[in-house]
Amino acid sequence: MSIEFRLNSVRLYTTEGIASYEFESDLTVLEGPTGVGKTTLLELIKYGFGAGDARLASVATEAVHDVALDASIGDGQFLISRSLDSAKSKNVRITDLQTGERLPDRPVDGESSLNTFLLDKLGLPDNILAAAQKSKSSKPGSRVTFGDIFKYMYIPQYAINRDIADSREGYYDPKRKAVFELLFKLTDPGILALQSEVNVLNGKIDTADEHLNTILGFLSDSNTSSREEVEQSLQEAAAEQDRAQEELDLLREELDPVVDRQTQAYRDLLTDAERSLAEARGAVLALARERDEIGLERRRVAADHARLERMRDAGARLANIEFSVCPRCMQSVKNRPVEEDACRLCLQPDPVSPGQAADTYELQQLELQLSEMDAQQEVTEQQAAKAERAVADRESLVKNLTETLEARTSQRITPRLQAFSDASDRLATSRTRQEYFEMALQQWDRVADIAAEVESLRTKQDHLKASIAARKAALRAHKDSVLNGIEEEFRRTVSSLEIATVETAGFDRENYLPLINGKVFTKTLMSGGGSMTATQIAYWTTLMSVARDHDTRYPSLLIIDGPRLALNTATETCAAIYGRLVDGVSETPGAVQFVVSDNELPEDYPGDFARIEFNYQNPTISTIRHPGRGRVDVIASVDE
Amino acid sequence: MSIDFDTLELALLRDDLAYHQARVLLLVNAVSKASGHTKKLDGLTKLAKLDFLLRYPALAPIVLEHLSDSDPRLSLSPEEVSTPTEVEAPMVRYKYGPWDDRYYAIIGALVGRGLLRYAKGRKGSVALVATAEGRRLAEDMSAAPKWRALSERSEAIADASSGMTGNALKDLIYQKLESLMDRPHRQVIK
Repeated sequence: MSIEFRLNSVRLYTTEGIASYEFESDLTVLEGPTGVGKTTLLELIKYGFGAGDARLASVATEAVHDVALDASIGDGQFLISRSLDSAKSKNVRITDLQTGERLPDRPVDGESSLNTFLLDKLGLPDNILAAAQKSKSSKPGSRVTFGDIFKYMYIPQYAINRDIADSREGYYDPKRKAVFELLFKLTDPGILALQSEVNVLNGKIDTADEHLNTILGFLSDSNTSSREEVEQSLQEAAAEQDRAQEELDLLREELDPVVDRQTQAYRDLLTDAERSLAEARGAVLALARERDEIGLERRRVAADHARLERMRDAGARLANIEFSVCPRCMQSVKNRPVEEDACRLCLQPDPVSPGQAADTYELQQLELQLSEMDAQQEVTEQQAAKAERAVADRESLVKNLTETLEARTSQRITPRLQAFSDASDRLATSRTRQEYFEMALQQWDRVADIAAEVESLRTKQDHLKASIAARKAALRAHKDSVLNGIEEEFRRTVSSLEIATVETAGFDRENYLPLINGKVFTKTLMSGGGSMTATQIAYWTTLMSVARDHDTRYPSLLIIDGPRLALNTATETCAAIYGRLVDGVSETPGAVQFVVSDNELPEDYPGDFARIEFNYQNPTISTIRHPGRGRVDVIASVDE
Repeated sequence: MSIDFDTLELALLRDDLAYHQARVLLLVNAVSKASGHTKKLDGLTKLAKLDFLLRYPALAPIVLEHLSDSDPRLSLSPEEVSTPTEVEAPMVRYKYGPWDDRYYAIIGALVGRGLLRYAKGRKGSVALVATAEGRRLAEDMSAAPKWRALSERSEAIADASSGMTGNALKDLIYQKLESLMDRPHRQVIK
């Protein structure tokens, strides 16, 4: 059983009115010369279903503003209307023709789109991912859309002589095969989802492996071969740090001057000695100042004394030199009578008798002062000398104590200095080593984590693979039956078509493509005489036929554009093709529907199937006047 | 000046006067002997200025270009150099520099005793010359330890001031000891 998919009618709303086409027959041939718009009509159908990018002729984009498709899908019948206006084309109007109910509009893309609607009617979810199954792919695969399924329903003119459902596009292969399997129920969405997950896990495992290798590379560069080794090194470094720390503490204790009582005693003595030295120096300075002051004072007294003495001496010397002339009038006073003890000049009694010593009181006082000062000076000198001796003693003491302390310090510190420095170095080194090993340990932890993650991912993947295998195994009998059926039917059809260049025909069970002369279709270069077209017709009708006989989701509609185009000389093959198509619909009426567009039908085409004839006066978009033969660009030629 | 001196004061005054006379005698004798002074001390100004240098011996090398403070005849102690105005016979600042009011009495006494005599000086000024007795006394004193220093200083100053007039000396003192002379009249120079 195929899934029913029938196109009942197409209605084009054009600027000049409506052009309507009914497809009531199981086989409808759209007949007419090149350029009358047959392909345009078929592409408008594709456009209406939102099945990928339709190749619309200018007449369609300029004159047609709506396409309405009346289609029976599964159990339902719907009118799907889509505008060609760029603003409105994003939404599709759907009417349930059985109930007459207008369903909510569906966008062409996105959530709850027309795509979802159509897939649902075909019994498929809209989230199927077509993952590659064989290669070591890490991609989840791209989403299967109605457009992908439509490739099995519509053989465009540009592909009929070249390709089967884009099989020559390598990137598209996983999807084409996935759709094939889905349509023939060789797989189910669950398997595809699992496969997608397997592929995603591939990517994750690859990433984790890469990460793991990077870290292992780093660890290898760091000369650590295992986690255990790092742990041991870390322990060693910690132990080394403890030892160095202990040694340092010990050295510090030994060097600590507070602990050394003897040195401390020397230091105290030195401090005392330095203080008393300072005091002694102060005393020396004070005594020197005192001595200077006494000396200065003594010099003054001595000067006074000397002057007094000089005065007395001068007085004594001049006392006996009598005035011989008057200092006033300069007359001689030598011969003038002078009484004894009277002044020779003023003749008054002489106050100082000759020979009488001038008063010596002051002289005596000064002499006394001088002798006192001398005594004081001597005492000061003695004190100064004593103080200077004290200074010398203290200086010597300070010197000795300093030397002793220095000797003690150097004896205690110097030999330990190297040990101190060594221990400090070892401490720092062991700390650095610990940090380094801790970092390495973290990396080893990461390695373990990642390895565990990889393991977990692999396990999960293995489960998935097992699950896939189990599901596939359940489908194996059906698959064998389907594929055997296809192979047999294909052989038979090819044989009946008598294709000139085909010697042997078969079916590739991996690619689901025809095997022609021992080669897979994609690798076969079939030239001339419409061999390729015939092979394709054989392939498609085979699929339709087998699908009908098995439990499948294969849609019952096949649209073929221009089989005759490459067959114009091989009229026998052409006749055979049409014979096959007629057989295909004749076997069980109403089971399948073929829509074929062609230039010209074979002469013995049975008249009981529909044929819609077009010409330049009556083009497919009949409301619009055709500009005439050769005046339009043929759609196929745009692509070729 | 009081005239009611008691005996002791009179004796002191007389001795003081005698001291100045003795010094002036030594100075005049030294100048008379020294070359460049025409064998006399010419003028009171010159006497006062030379006597100033003699009484403030540490200032003499400052004023006189040809006198060194290390001249042994000056026999300057470090204290005298450091405190040049602390002297045993200070003078006062008068109109034309240092001066002593007692010069007239001193010269009168020396001349009256026949130790100096007046001589004719330049431009009609009075010059002083030691008499033979004055010279004898001066030489006698120079030999005594008490007077040796004064005598030698007198000679050193007489030599160093050779050829200089009183005015020239006065100008030099004002020039070299500007800060010391920058004081009111009658103030003791110390």
